[in-house]
Amino acid sequence: MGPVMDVSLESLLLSGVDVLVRLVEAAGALIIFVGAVWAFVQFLIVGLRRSGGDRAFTSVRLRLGRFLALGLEFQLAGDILRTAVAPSFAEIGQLAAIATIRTALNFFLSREIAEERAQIERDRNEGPRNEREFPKP
Amino acid sequence: MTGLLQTAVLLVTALGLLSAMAVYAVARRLPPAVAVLLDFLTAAGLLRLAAAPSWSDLALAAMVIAIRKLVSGNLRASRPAIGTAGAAGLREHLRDRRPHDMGRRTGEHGAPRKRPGAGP
Repeated sequence: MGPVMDVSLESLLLSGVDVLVRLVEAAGALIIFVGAVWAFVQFLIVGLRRSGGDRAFTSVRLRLGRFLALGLEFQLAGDILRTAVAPSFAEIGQLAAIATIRTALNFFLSREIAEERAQIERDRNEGPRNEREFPKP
Repeated sequence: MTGLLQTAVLLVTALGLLSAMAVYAVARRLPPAVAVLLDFLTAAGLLRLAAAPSWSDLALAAMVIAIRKLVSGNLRASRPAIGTAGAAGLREHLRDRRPHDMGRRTGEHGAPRKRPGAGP
């Protein structure tokens, strides 16, 4: 009776974790997809208005970067869940590679977001100063 | 789910191409358009990784990210030469000031160039 119960518990755990992983990864993929569609719409709006210039495009790119970083966090959560039930060394290796890529990308994305934000702040601060220093005749 | 994700990957790639074209049409400069395209391609690569990933998919995603880093690093390095908002303001200011400066210059240096007695 004991081993049978163990097996059924293990299979229950496996299927439960599998469902969770799929749910979390689907959420991550959905966030990335929604972010891409949202960014596309925003690029079209900025393009049609023809206002704001590079700063408007950069701000939309920043938002898209945030969507990507959030989706990546979800996918990393799925990876961590999957390590709980990874049965073979090959799968663990693949998982490690995916987690490494996602972690590296998340790091770079966060750094880029910070740099772009600093650039926008610099531009915003420089704008009025230029106006003051060089008044139009 | 894999089929759905592959459709999403294609869609995101197409949206990226269209967005890059829209950005180029407005900005008339290549670097912002390339940056936008690379962002969308990264999104597509991440979606591809969410589907059942193989080693080749992994290698492809890593390559896209590496290329993206390389290109965006170059774009950022060349940004000051291309011009920030501050530089654009300075250019605009110089363009606005030019007629005034030129008028002053002709006032200073133009008169001696005139031949005496040529005019009324």
